[in-house]
Amino acid sequence: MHDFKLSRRHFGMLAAGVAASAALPFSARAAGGTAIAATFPGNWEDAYRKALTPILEAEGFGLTIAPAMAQDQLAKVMASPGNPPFDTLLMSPGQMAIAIEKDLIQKIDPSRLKNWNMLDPAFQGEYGPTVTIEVNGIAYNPDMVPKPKGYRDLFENPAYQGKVSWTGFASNTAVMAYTEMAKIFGSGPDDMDAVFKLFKEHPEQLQGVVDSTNHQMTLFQQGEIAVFMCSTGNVARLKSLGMNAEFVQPETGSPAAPVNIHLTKGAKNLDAAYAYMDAAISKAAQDILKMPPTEMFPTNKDVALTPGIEAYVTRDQLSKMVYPDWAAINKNRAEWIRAFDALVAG
Amino acid sequence: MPDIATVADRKRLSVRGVTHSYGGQNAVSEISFDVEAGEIVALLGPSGCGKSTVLRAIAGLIQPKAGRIVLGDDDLAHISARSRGIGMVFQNYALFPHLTVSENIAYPLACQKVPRGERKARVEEMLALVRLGDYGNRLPRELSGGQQQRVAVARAIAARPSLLLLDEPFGALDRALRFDLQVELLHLQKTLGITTLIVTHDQEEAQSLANRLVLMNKGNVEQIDTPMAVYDRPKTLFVNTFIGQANMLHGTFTELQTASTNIALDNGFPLNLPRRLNFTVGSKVTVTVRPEEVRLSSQPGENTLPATVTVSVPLGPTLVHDMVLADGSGLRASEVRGPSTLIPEPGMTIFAEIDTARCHVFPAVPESMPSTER
Amino acid sequence: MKASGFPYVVPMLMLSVAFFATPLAVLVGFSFSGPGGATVEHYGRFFGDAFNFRVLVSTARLGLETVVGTTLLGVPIALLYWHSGRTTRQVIIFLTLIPMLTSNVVRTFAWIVILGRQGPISEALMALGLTGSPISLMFTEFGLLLAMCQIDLPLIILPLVAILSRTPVQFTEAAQVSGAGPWRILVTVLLPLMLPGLLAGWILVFASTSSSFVTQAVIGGARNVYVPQLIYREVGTLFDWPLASAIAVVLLVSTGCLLVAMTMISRHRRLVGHA
Repeated sequence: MHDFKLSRRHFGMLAAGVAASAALPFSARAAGGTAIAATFPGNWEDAYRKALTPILEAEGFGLTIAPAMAQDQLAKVMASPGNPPFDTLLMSPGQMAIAIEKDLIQKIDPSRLKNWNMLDPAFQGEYGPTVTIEVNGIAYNPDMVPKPKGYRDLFENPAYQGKVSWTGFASNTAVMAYTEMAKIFGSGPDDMDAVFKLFKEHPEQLQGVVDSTNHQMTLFQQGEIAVFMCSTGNVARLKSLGMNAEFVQPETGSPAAPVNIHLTKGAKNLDAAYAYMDAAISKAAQDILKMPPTEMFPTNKDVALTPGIEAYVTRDQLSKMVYPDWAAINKNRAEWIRAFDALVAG
Repeated sequence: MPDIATVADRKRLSVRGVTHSYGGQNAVSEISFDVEAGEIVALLGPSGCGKSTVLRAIAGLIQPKAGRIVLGDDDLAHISARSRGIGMVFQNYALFPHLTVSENIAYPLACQKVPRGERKARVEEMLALVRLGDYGNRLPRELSGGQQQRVAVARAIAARPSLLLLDEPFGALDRALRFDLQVELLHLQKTLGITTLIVTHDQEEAQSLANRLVLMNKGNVEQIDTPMAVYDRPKTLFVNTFIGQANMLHGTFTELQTASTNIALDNGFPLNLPRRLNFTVGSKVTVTVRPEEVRLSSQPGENTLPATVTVSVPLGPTLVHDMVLADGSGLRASEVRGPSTLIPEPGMTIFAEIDTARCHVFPAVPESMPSTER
Repeated sequence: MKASGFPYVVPMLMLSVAFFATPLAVLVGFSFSGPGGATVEHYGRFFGDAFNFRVLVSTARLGLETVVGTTLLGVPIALLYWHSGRTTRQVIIFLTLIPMLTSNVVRTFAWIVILGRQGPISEALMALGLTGSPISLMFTEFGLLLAMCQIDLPLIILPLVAILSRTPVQFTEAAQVSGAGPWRILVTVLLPLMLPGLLAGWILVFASTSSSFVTQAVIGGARNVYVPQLIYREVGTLFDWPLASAIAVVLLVSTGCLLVAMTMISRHRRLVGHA
C-alpha cells in the first residue's frame, strides 16, 4: 500500500512535469506562431521535420509537418476554401497551375526571405521559392535486368518483359514519362493515343501497373518488379535501405520538375510560414537535405553538390533537362487518367 | 395406433461390463444390467454418478473403453449412432428451433429415407398420439414446456425405434405438470410396448415409471431391483439413504446369538435385533431406520432412545416429528395421523422406539458422509 | 412507443445528426448539384460509361467472392471452436482477433511478401513442380481475394462463435441419433442454426470488402479497379466532387439494398427465435 502511494505521488509529479514541459515550448512557440506545412509523405516528411524544425525554433517559431501528396494537398485546401488546413503547400508546376487557377495560393513577398538572393532567378518563383529540382528517369535493379537505354528499350528488349511497373496519370513522375513517350512513339507530347496504342500492343507491360511510386518502391524491395519510373530521390531512398538500385537518365533526356513551396490564400501564420520558406532555402538546411537518404538537389547557390548528386546531374546539366508543358498536360490530364485506368482494367 | 404396436419389434437391451473414463478418471466402471423387451427400466442416481455416460454409450454418442452393449441380437460396438435404430429424448429436448413441430417429427423419417407419403401419414399419426394434432405448423419456441416434451417424445418414436432412451425427460417441467406427463408416457409405452430406458435423478419419477430401477453411485451399479424391493431391502447404505429417508445410528457389534444380534450404539443405548447378522464382534456398524419405523412412546422400553421433540409437522395424512437425541444427533419419525395420535409439544422429552425387525445394518462409514448426495 | 425514453437517446441522436446524417445529406446534395440547379447529369455520366459499370460489377463480385471464401474458411473454424475445450477455444479466439489488432496496412504488406514471386505460394508451387518459373499472385484478383478473405475472416467467425457458444451440442446428437450423417447434420441442422450469424457476417464482410481501399489498391494494383478507388480518384486526383458523390451514393444504395434484403431474411420467423 505504501509503495502504491509513493508511486502514485511519483506519477502525479511525472504528469505535472509532462504537462509543464508540454506547456513551456507551446507558450514559447505561441510568441512567433507555428507554421503548418504540407510536405510529401515519407522521405520528405522525415527530412523536413528533422532539418527545418531546429532552424525555426531558434527563431521562435514552431513547425508542424503535415504529410500529403500534392493532389491531396489540393483536395484538402479546396475542401475548405478561405480556411486552408495548411499554411504552405509543396508541389510541382503541374499542381501549382491548378492551385493558381482555383485561387488557392498567393504571391509571396520576397523581401521577407533572407536567403532569397541565394537562389538562381529560375528558382525565384512569384508564387514561392523552388526548394529542389526533381530529376526523373528510370530506376532499375542491376541484379535482375540490364541497364536500360531509354523508354523504347523497355518495350523492345525482351529482358524487361513483365518486370516493368507503371503508374496511372495521377502521378507527376508518370505523366512526365508518358509525355516523353508520346514524343518518341507519337507525334508530340500530347499525342497520348500513341502511348495507349503502345500499351495495347504490349499487354505484359500492363500487368505491373500500380497506384503510386510508393507502392512501386515496396514492390521493388520485394523483387516483384525490376524497373519503374522514378526521381533521383526515390533511388537515393532505395539505396539508403541497402537495395541494389540504380538511376538512369533516358537517352532522350531526363524530365525534371522543380518543387516549390507556396503560401496558401488565408494562411493564418504568415510570419512562421515565411520563416519556414526561408529555412527551406537556407544553406544550413540544404546542406543536410543534399545528403543521403534524401540527396535533394540544392537550389541555394552556396551549397556545393555532393559526388552522389553529381553522378545523377550537375548544375550545368540542369538547363538540358526536359521541362514539360504543364498547362498542356493539365488540359488533358483528367481525360488521360480516365482513359488509362480503363485501358489498364481491360 | 394398433398399427404401431404390431410393427415396433421388441428387443432386449443388455449392457455388460461397460467402462468409460474421461481424462484418466473413470466415469463409469463395470456397468452391467438388462432391460427386457418391452420393459421400462430407470437408471437412477445423483447427478455426476455416470448414468448419462451409460445412456450416451448406449445411444452411440460415445465409445466406451470396455464392455458390450447388445440390443436384440446385435452387438452395438460396430454400429454407429445413426444406424442403431434408437429413439432418444434429450434433457432439454433438443428440438430443432428452425423446424416446425411436423418437420421435427419427420426428421428421423427423412434421415431413414421413408417415402414422402408415408412420412406425412406417420407425422399425423404421431401428432395424434401425443395429442398435438393442431400444432404441426408451430415452431418449438411457440409451444409450452409440456408440449415441447411431447414433441420430443413423438420425434424419438416416429421412426419406430426398438429402444427408447429418455434423459431426464421431465427435469425442465414444473411438478404439477410432471405427473400428468409421466402417466401419459407410461400409457404410450404400454401401447407401443417399446423397450425403454429412462435416466433420472428423481426417485419418485423413477419409481412411478419403471418396472425396475438400476441404482448408480460414483460410476458403479449399487443395486438392481423393483422399486419396492429397493425401498424395502436396500443392499447398500447409499441405496438406503438415496431412496426415501433414513435415520443413521452409529454403533458397535457386541454380541451374536442364534436368532438375535446386539449392537451398542455410540450414544450408549443398546439395540437388540431379532435376527442373526454376519458381522464380527467389535466391528463398527451403521444402523438405518426409516422414519415410519420409529414409534413414539411416553415410556422407556426395549430398543428405545430418549429424545427431545424439536418440531412436529403434519404432512397430509402423516405426522413428521423431528427430534434430537441426547448426543445431539437428529432423529426423524413419521406416523399415520389418527384421532388418538399424540401431538407432542416442542421441547417435550419422549422415547423413540426403533423397529428392530425392519431396520438395516451396514458396515460403518465415516460420519462426515452426507446421508444423501442430492 | 414510450415517450419517456426519448431524453436518453438525445445525445446519440445529436451525434448521429451532426456526424452522420448531415455529411450524408451534403454528399447526396453534391451528387445532384449542377451549375444550373439540381441535375441527375452526374448519375448519367456514371452509368453512361461502361467502364464505371464494370467497376461496380467487379466490386460486387469481389464482395460476393470474399463472402463465399470467408464462409468456406470461417464455418469450419467456428465448428472447431464449438467442439473444442476451453484452451483451444481461447487459442482460436486469439488467432482470430490477431488480424483485427494489426494495422490494415501492415497486413496488406505482409500479403505482398506472401503473394510475391519469391513468396511461399510461388516457392511451394515450384517445389511441387506445378510451375516451372516463379509466379506472382500480386495484381491478380485471386491474390486479392486471398488477402481479403484473411483480413475479413474475423468478421464472419465472431458472429458464428457468438451463436454457437449459445448452441448446445445436443442438437447434433439428436440429429445423429435420428439417423443423420455428417453432411446431413451440417446442411439441415448446423447451417440453419448458424444462419443468423452467417447473415450478420455476410453483411459485415460484404460491406467491408466493397468499401475498403488500401488492400485493393496495393494488392489489386491498378488493373483491378473497385468503386472506392474510383471515388478516391474522382475526389483526390480529378477533383470531380459531384461525380464522386454520385458514385458514393450509388455504392451506398446498392450495398444498402443488399443489407435490407439480408435483414429481411433474418427477420424470418424460423430465424428470430434462436438468433
